Amino acid sequence: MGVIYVPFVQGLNLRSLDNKMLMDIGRVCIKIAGRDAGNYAVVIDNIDSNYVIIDGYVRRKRCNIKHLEPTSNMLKITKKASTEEVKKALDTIKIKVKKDQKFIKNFKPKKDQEEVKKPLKKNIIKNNAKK
Amino acid sequence: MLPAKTKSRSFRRKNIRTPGGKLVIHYSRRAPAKLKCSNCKKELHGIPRKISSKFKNLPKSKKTVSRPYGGNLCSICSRIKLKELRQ
Repeated sequence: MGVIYVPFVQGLNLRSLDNKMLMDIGRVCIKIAGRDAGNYAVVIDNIDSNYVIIDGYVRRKRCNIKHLEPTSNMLKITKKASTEEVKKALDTIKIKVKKDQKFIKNFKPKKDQEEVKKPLKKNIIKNNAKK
Repeated sequence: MLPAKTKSRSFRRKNIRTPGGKLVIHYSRRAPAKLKCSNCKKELHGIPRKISSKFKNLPKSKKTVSRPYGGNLCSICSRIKLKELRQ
């Protein structure tokens, strides 16, 4: 499959390329719009020149091509594959972004700090008495 | 004696004619400024202009936009931002 991939450049319109080539079955995309934005999706089926069906770490649904940003990765999956198959195939690619990460907005890395134990009142009184 | 808030201009005034035929002034707080996109300074949709005391009683879904960067960036700027984060 001779798929041409052009990396994202600001101001360059990907839509000028042939959409059918970019949005084949198995193409890994990033969802740009909606509440699933920022998560990885895979194209499962083509409906027409504007719409595809997507699945992966997003809700399985119909999606406009304008709401997807294609990446250079292709997966070998069948037409209308189940969500389990798609997720397994997605895990084979090394993806930098976390899977179910509701990232950016509420993302705070956990701190690995040990809890400092407060000294008990009894011990303080005893130490003061010694002094 | 009138309450002190009548002097303050942070209260909006509205002349209203009552059913009895009198003219009365109603006082209410002015709405806060419109929220803007932090990148392109466009006005944001989907976030109501309410006083903080009433804003906090709203459900979470009505206070923000459910997209990442929702309530901070407009939809066009957030798309550009998400595309950049791809690499």
